[in-house]
Amino acid sequence: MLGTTDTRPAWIGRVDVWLATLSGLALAFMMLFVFAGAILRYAFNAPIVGANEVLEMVSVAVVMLAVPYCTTQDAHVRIDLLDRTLGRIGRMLTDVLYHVIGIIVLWFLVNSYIARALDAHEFNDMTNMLDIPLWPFYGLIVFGMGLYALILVVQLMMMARAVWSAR
Amino acid sequence: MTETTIGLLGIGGMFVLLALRVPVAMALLAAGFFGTWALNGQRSAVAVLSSETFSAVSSYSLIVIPLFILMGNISSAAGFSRGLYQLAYAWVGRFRGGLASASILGCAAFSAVSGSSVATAVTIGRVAIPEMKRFGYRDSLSTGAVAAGGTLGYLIPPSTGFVLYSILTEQSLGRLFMAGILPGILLTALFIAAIALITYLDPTAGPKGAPVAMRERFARLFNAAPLIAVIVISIGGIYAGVFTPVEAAGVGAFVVLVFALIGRKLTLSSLHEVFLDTVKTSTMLYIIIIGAGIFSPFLAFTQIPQGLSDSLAQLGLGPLGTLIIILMAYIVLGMFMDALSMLVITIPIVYPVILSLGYDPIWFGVIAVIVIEMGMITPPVGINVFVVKAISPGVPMSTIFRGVLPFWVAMLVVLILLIAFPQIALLIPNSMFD
Repeated sequence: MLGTTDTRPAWIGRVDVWLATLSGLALAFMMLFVFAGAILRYAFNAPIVGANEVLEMVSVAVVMLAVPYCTTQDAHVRIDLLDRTLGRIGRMLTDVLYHVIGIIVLWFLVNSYIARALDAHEFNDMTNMLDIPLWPFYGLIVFGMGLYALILVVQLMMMARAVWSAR
Repeated sequence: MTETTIGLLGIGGMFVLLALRVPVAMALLAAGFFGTWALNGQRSAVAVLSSETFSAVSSYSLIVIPLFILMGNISSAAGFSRGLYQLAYAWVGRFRGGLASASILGCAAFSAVSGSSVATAVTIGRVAIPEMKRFGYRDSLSTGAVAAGGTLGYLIPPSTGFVLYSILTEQSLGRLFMAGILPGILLTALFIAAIALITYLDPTAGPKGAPVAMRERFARLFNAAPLIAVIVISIGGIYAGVFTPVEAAGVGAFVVLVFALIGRKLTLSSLHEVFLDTVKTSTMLYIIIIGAGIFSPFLAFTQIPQGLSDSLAQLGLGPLGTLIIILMAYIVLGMFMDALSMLVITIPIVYPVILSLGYDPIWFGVIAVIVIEMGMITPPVGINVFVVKAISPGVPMSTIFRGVLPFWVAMLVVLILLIAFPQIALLIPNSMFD
């Protein structure tokens, strides 16, 4: 089910909301761009050249800037069928499992994108039509997914501290 | 270990992770990533992880997701959905069970701007359930109608279900949207027929509402006109071939935003909330799509879908018998899994089997979405029932589940009709594209 609990670590302050607001602005741009493109194409027979490429790159920003907010708001869909059966300790252990798996997978993902961004920068990789450099968008993936991993690390530490204080 | 063994371990591991409350996206990511690692090594696993992530977040066709969610969220925040319910109430509320029918019609109309069943049930339920309570409707009918009506959000275009199905199967989203229209109308009609039958057998379940004067009815039609215009522009635009689904989503979101701003229906703060909620939901969906994008190639490496297809063929049940087994499996899964998870997990496994049986992939998309919708109101995990319970906390869960039963049967009837007459789903897309 869709969680709605705010699990924002204290250090992140309102950074996740600011980033999500930027993501929202990128989405607003996307909406206006699609609308303008459709009108120009059908009403004036003047399509925006390379519109798809612009939208594809803006899409990367929309998603990656909102990843930290999605994580702090615990918006990732879970199946909570065994919630009651697991009990409080069971739920905490499964949370630990999710965080550990998440950190490992995201670590590989972020590392691969650091290498990809550096390569794209070095070899000047660009989009086909508008020659938009790709490395900033690979960098956005490093940023978004890196923050996702960092939030998971901090949440894991918060869980450990909670257990430690309870003892 | 053979490829099949690794595949089965991967699928089993994913289900264990899901049962252990690991988010669906991460369970798919982990099973796909580590499974590919076990099969082809770390380098291949990292390559798949890396390429699938960028191809998902930079996909042009996926842009429909945030734009359609934005359109639904603006409509909801601006209160346009209330106008739809009030319009339906004005025209059918005076009949026996009319308020419940108005809820269904309100849900169907709101579904045409929102791709989410939960959003549809919440939006219409908040207006409709208190109204039905005021007129003495039986709780089972009022809550059941809203919970079932909400599922229309997943079938009537723009539907998140079709967007995901289109991505997972590489089928045309425009065709899928069009294929959902007639089954959506048919299901709406059958829901209303179910209400008529319930109130015929027990008139106290749904008394007549207050009659509304003809002038007032047209006034409400005028009030709901902005949203009706958005529906005509976006969905009509796709059908007429004027817009692609992405353009329809962008134009629809823009037009509904303009109407909301002109009508001073949104403040800066509520607009901020709308955008935050949209990017949050969209990102959640994108990460699931990334997970599915990594899990699908892993399944393909293991040859499990092919093996499953061969095994089912060996049973000698024929295409229809095999289809019935698959649908029964979906109904059982629907008891425990939510719609989104079911779709992204099962389609990569089932879709090759369906193709090998010779079924039309667009038609199966509609079938899959309806059978998954049934899961939304099936105990013990029926997301729409939980949503309705949150709106009306005084009503026991068992009453709501009892209330949705007639609507569940209506869905089953639609499913049978679609299997018997696939043209119901294929008529519009075929007339449009062929």
